[in-house]
Amino acid sequence: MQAYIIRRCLLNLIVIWIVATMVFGALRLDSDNIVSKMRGQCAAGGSTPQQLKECDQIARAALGLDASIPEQYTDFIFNLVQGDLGNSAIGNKDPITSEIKERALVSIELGLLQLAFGLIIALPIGIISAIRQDTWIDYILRAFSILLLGIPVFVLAIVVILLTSQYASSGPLAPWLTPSATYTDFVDPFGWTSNESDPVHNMQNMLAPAIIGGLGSAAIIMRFLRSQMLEVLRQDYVRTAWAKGLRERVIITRHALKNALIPVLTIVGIILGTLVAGNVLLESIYGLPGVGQYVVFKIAQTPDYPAVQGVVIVVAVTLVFINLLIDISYAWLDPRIRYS
Amino acid sequence: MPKRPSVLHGIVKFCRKKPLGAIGFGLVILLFLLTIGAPTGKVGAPSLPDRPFGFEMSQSFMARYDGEDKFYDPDGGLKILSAPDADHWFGTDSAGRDIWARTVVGARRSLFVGIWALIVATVIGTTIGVVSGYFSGIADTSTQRVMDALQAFPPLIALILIVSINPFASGDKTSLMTTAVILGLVGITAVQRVIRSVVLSTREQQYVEAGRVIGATDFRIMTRYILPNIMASIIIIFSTGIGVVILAEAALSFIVPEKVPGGISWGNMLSESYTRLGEKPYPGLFSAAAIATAVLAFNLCGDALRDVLDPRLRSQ
Amino acid sequence: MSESNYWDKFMRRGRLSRRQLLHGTALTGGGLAVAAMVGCSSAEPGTTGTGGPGTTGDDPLSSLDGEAVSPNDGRREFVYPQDDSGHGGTLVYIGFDPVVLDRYDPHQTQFGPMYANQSAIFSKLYHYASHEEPTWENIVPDLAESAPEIIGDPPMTYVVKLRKGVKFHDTEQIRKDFPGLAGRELTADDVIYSYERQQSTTSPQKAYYYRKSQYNTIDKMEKLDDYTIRFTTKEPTAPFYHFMADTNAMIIPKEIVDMEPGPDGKPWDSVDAFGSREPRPAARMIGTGPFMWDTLKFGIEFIAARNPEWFGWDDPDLGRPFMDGYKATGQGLNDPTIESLFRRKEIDVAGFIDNPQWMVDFKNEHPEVEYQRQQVSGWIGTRFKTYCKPFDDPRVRRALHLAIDRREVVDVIGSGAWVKVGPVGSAIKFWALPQEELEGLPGYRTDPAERTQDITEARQLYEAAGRPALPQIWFADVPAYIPRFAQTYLQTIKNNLGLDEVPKYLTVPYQRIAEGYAREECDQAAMSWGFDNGWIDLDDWVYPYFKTDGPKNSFKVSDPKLDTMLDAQRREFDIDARRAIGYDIQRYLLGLTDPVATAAHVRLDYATPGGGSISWPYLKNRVSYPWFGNSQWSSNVWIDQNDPSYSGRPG
Repeated sequence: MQAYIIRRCLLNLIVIWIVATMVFGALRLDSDNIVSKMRGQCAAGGSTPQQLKECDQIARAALGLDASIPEQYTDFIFNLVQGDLGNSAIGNKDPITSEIKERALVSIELGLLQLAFGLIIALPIGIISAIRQDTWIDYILRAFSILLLGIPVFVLAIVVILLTSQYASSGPLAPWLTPSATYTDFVDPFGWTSNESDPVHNMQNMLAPAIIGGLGSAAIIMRFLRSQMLEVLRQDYVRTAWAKGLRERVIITRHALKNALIPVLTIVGIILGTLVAGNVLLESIYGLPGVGQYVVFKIAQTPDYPAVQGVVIVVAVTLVFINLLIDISYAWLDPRIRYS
Repeated sequence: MPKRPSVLHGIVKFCRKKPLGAIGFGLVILLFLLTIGAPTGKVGAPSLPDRPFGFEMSQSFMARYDGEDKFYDPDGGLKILSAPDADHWFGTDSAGRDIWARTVVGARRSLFVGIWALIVATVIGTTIGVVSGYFSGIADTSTQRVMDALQAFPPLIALILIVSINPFASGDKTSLMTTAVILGLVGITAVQRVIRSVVLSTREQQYVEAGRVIGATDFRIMTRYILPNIMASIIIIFSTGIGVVILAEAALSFIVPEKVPGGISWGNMLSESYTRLGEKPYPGLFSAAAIATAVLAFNLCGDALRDVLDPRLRSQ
Repeated sequence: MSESNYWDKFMRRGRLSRRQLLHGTALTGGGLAVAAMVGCSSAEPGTTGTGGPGTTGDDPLSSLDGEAVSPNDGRREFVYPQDDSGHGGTLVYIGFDPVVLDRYDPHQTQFGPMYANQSAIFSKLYHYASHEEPTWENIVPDLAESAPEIIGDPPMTYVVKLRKGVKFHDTEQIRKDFPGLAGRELTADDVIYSYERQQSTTSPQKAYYYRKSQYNTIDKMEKLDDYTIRFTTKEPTAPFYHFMADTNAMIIPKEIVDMEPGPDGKPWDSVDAFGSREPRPAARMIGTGPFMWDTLKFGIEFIAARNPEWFGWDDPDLGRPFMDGYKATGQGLNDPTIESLFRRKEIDVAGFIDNPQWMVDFKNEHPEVEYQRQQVSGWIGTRFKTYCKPFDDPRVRRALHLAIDRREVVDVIGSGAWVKVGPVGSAIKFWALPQEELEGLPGYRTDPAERTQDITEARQLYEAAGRPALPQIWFADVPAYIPRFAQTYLQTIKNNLGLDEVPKYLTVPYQRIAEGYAREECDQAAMSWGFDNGWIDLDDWVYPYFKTDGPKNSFKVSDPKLDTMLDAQRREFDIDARRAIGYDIQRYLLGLTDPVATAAHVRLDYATPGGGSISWPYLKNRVSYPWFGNSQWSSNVWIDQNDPSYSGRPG
């Protein structure tokens, strides 16, 4: 077990290195485009082609693109290893690590809440659907889950906001269902953010997007859980339990569920993976200052290439280690899958 | 001699056993019908949305109008956001264009972007999965690490990233085909993961051993034994995957509309109209319904296919 | 600012936008302003214009016309609090202020929303009480103690006396970062420094001094004593007084400028410090304005804090600013959210992004809210490179001018609330051609018979020019409504000119377009579509754009007749005579004097965002301007806690 973890960690480091290199490469591939934005700003004052060249040089220097590629790369990796992701290229040019830290808590909270709601909704539905296979309950629940899959999450969110603002705009429900102008943390124990903390207001910010996002996750989890349950329920040991005369509830919880849940963990892992990345769509619509929204600003809006580089690496690192956690818990839960 | 069951009989049996799947197939067929238009005779490299497989089609038969035609009120102003009526089955949008026509035109784009994305994902993913799964050893481990690295990019972010920096676009028109390819590329890791696991389990089968004993080359084994086994998985991936791609394209158009190629798409229609969904819901409503229907249709099909084709899930 | 916002799209955008919004930089020779990101949001109490007429009659805002507060700019009758209950509180509104897409340095930026932030922090010698009527009566002293002494006939010398005792911001952090600056007095040296740096021909930032053509009219600046400066212009320049009051004529202290060497060894010369040099730009925003820079979180919020030592113009005893500060939030830029937040009084002021209907309904439901009609001075239009075929042929340009359906622009992009514009924005009522005249002109008129006439003429001209192929048209990518409108526009052109195919187009970021202009190649931005910054004085609207070799003359047009008129308006100190010249210039550009004049139709102007905003009655002394850069007027704003509408306001 020990050796497995160490080996995976080392492999993860390699994976992270590959990711970092890919991002580095991708942005360098497009470096002309990046520089052209800054060059264009320079040009707006009425430049001649000669002045454009000067602007180009200055822009490259400011972005750290003037050194040779190997030099840029070594600097990049060297800084990365020390945890320095560089500085944003626009505005106040803050360090990217602190910008991400500022936003990570929001996305983590949203992700965890989404997962929680997803599980709360999906577990009962998946189980019931499986044990009552092919009955009308099963059909309804499956239809429901398929419908959920089809409706884009952002459409659902918008419809909720619209309906609320049309019919319940001044009521007590409004702050819970529509975006707010301020965001407050629930609690900020490590002092990562500069937001204020107000648990109630935070719930107003978070509940609606968490539930809507949770519905999306639930749709996936419940279908998967159902098929896993079905498979487990067909196993011999479950048949034996039936034959022994155990009650249904005991069979489900004591025997079937535990085994069915293991593969579900993979799905949970995948969903957990969106924690730091944040749910881009929900954060944008609900105005939550998380990492997802940061991505949209930095990649699509500006684009702020060092920030893009930084955030992609942070997200990748998180995902990779979450996967490791999932795999470890797999091995821990299922004695058959102990890796030597 | 007992009569061989006719195809029709087979279909009826399928409908009876898997009613949801039947609905799914019906919807898929309807969607394809929306895309069909008369061939113009021009042939060339596949380009989207009008020349998906090399031969160009003109406007869909079912569209009634051109998606860009504008309609005017008697007083000369544009007929903006009018309600559905006999002339405009889905009403008109914010620039006076017929929503039904745009929905039909959008179908072509969504469907074919989906199909091409899946073609790219499946072909490349399958190749990687088969090679990686079959050969094991260093090739497998290193490929899987790279795949892990690729998988570490959350899909939507990867999409936004690629679409934003898109080196292939460099200021010039980002073609839809490029978008489809990009969407496909993002899906490769998922595809290869599934295929690889099937290959791994197939590889240990006895008949593959047997094949090796009689001297079949690796290539032959892969094509003769393994490929047919993974066909079922490929079909399932294809059918469920299209729904995912359609959703992803809509999400992209919504979040970064200026980076996605112009033209009519359901995602564009939705993003243009969502702030007015409250009082003038028609463009948003119908485009959202179209997206939902397409995703639903393909998922239902995919589910039904999986139930039928995946041996592990066959009920007793 | 009331313009369509697409920040949420980008973002989108959420939006975007925005989005967005989604950006942009003023382009060369003419910027396409990044105002693109601008959406119509409610408001910077310092923004929003006064009304222009609705044009199509389908304008949903026209039903509220009788109820708009007027005047609603600095000429407004301010009512001040009688006691302490009117002091304190923080104004909250939704706006683009937190979207910092350009530099922090006030002299090196072209991005509208930045002006909003900067104008709260920095003061100018003079400022405008009104953009709608930007006459000298409405230029008011800011740092100066009175109007300048103007000497000469024609005038070439201006003597400005500064107020005494104007102090730079003073906080603990500032004392740490800039110990010599905190609390020090502003003197003539600061004024001369601020103006001189923009004239530099050696600074690495010289390309970023976008208004250098204004400062290059100065021959010499002499410091007569610590509080007196004498300016002498090279030639009689009527807009010179305006230049001292223009939006970006801010006075900054030299301490905040990073003069350490840049990559080329020369002093860097920018408030936006090179690389990650400390202090960061945000920490350098130290001025003499009524508010101090508190926090800016990109895209999320901008918070300004009250400057307790503000000099207070002519009434320092009033104790302005009354509020503790204000907060501009960049979240929630879509109509349903804005409405919801406004109802809950989480924001005190609200405009609309796409659709004014919610606001009209709200005002009818709550007659007590204060409504202000806004019109924006930025506008969308098209530019041609007259040195590229086929735009060297004035007939082609005129054909396009007639072919485009401006009513469509107003209806589709603006939901009926936008207003058509000519070469001078309609928001600047004083200088712009009278709206009735404009609406009756070919290309603008909507009467069906006349419209048909225009289209026929367009076709004839196009035929006569030989039906040349149109090159690829470049559309700016923000605001999102521009590329979105492209198809509609191109379809109209195709139909009205009788083209075989819809012309090709490309969606491009502003900076690319700017570069396209600078490169002077004909496959880049020969015809472009975008949004441009709004201006105040006539000179800014026409001189840099259309004068031969003018800094914004991306068209490369050179028309001696027009040059004469442009020079004439620059020299004409009689304002009515100047206005008449301005009208002539506009008519010339619109092809009225000579439909195929060299400079006719080099820039096609379409429409400008119109809009409105509402605020709760507890918010007093709100003002609206057509463009950004008037946050100093928020020093008059106060929140009346005794007003009945105040109950229920959070925080």
